[in-house]
Amino acid sequence: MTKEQFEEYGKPIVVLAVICIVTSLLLAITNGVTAPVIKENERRIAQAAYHEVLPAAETFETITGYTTPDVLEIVKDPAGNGYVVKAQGQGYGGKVPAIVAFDANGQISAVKFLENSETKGFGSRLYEEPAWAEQFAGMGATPFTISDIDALSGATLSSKAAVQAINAAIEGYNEVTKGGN
Amino acid sequence: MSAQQSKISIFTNGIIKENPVLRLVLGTCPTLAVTTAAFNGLGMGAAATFVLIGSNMVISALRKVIPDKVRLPAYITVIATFVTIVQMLVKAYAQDLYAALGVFLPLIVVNCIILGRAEMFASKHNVVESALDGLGMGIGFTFTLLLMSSIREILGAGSIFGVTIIPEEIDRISIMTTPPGGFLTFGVLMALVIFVETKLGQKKKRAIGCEGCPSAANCHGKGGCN
Repeated sequence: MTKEQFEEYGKPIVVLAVICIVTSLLLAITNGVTAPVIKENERRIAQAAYHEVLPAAETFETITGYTTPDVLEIVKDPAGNGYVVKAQGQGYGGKVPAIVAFDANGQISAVKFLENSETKGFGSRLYEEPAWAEQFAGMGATPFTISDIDALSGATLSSKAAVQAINAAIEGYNEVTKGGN
Repeated sequence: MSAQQSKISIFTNGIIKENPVLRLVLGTCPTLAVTTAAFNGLGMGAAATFVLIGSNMVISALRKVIPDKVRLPAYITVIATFVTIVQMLVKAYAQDLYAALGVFLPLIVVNCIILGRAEMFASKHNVVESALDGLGMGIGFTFTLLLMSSIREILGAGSIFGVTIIPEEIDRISIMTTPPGGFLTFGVLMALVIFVETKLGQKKKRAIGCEGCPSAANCHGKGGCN
């Protein structure tokens, strides 16, 4: 390879490759420092949300080993005050996440919808208007359909996603409390 | 002009004469999107300033090494690295800001101000000058965002940095916190800048072409912008 050929074809590749290697290294170091902090923050926010729907519980312990699809996390109060299940449904603009609290009697005690990317003013009312979720409190842990509830007007798909998320939570709850393990 | 004066003018250029938002009309997307509250505007400005200074310095230091052919991928890689570092740091240590800026934080990568300064300034000047340019442009951007977001927060929400300053009895102009309010504020501020310039006798030819371009001093009529 002549010098001209290297300048024309070799050098751009070498320079770009070196830049990419150095920047990757910098990113790896930053990620190493920030990732544990970010994870701890997320855990704290999740715990705060769980505490909000199940105020009786002081601490939560994570349960593993369930197989129900669309269930993101199941935690239980070691003192026996109930369970909190985080689950999601497929909405109009992405996944619709919700956390559902089950009290010690196995009834839904509270539902809280987390932020979603549904249409503003329609599906976004799931998390903007917490009052809508109050209708789920007191329901038993049996799956239901959208005709059993008051859907959000103009947001049928988001309402269906909400039902799907809560049903997934119910199934996940039934699996860990009654099923297999 | 002595060397010292020219360094100062590099710095002040970005704040007034070549203000990236109001004069170069770059970075308009984050400007309109995040300026709903003063805190967000300030945070966005600070994040972009950090990226600008960092990428300007690195690109300036590498300007003789990077072959012309791959300069854009090289610049974007450097810029994306700084943006990702900022994103990780903000997510770890300033969650409120992270939640407020949302997708516009990673989108600093494609903020025209940053690639624009890399291409127009850092690739032709030394590290110190490029750092000053980045700082000046960053402060200009931050100042403009802070101004816009303060106006929108005061009129739209009756508060500044979350502290209520207009009594609750007075109705808010809620359009100011919505996207149309952003365009309104932006347009009025731009008109104001041109008005003040005209009053000060610095009237410029606003035709499309190098004479009317605020960046003409940097490109010396070379860039085929018309």
